[in-house]
Amino acid sequence: MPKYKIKILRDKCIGAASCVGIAPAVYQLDDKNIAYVIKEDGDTPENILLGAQSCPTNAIEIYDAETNEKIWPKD
Amino acid sequence: MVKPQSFQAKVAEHIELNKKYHSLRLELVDPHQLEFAAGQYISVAIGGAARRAYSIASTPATKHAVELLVDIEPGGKGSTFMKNLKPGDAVEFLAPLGIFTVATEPKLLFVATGSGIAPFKSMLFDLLEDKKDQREIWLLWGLRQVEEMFWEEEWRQINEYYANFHYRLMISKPPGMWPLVSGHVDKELNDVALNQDWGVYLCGNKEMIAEVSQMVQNRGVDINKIYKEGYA
Repeated sequence: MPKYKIKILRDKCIGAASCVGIAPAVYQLDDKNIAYVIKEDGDTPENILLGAQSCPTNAIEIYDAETNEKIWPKD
Repeated sequence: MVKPQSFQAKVAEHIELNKKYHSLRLELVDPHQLEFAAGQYISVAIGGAARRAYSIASTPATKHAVELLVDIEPGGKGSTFMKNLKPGDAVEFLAPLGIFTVATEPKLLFVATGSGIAPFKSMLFDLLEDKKDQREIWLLWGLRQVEEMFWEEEWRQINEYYANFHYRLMISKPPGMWPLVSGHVDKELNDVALNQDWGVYLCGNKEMIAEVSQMVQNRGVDINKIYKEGYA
């Protein structure tokens, strides 16, 4: 079971592709240059989180898959 | 695309360009070299697991350090962190990030507002000085006030030296009797003979990006050749 649940806020994504650069097996850009998740456990939890943290607009939210606790961004 | 990694760096220089803009040079410690493409950015750790994105203003030819331009006026967490950095302070960042890089169009137009000039400094000095690119290149840069001006000498010099480079700085709120160009970047677009041959690169505030994007499309630029970066 994936450690994290990943939510992409499509209206915030500007297609900077930092997430893709860090974890390309998890994040990709669609034909509108907006990020989407291809596989929630496609990389290490550290890289999945780092991909979200590197986003310049905080367009990726990370939740604990078991508890549903929000891991990133910290509100 | 080079895989991003974490870099440890030290602040080598912190210059207050004016009350709004600061320039920082981060000297890389570990790894000690960074390969990147002009236009890419770094994600700086600003404490508490938070990060902020800053475009690299230096060119890829400089591998041992990165120059950043910071607008400190927002006064938020990121700008306050960067404003308080002193020479010798340690900084961690992820790099290289982003896909805002120069493509192969025959003619190039760059339009920036404020600190949106940062990635263009990297791109244009890389194109003109390092690659001796011969394409027709225009740079339109908008600032609000005369007091916010910086890097004038750098742009003036390459504008004089390279005949294929055309540069206009616009002040949207100039003082009375201001002798240079005033107004907004969109006015200056009339001097550029746009058509489908042009690639257009936009970086700065959302309003400018939306407005100029529509204007250049109306003048024949392919929507797929308009590249946007909404932060700097």
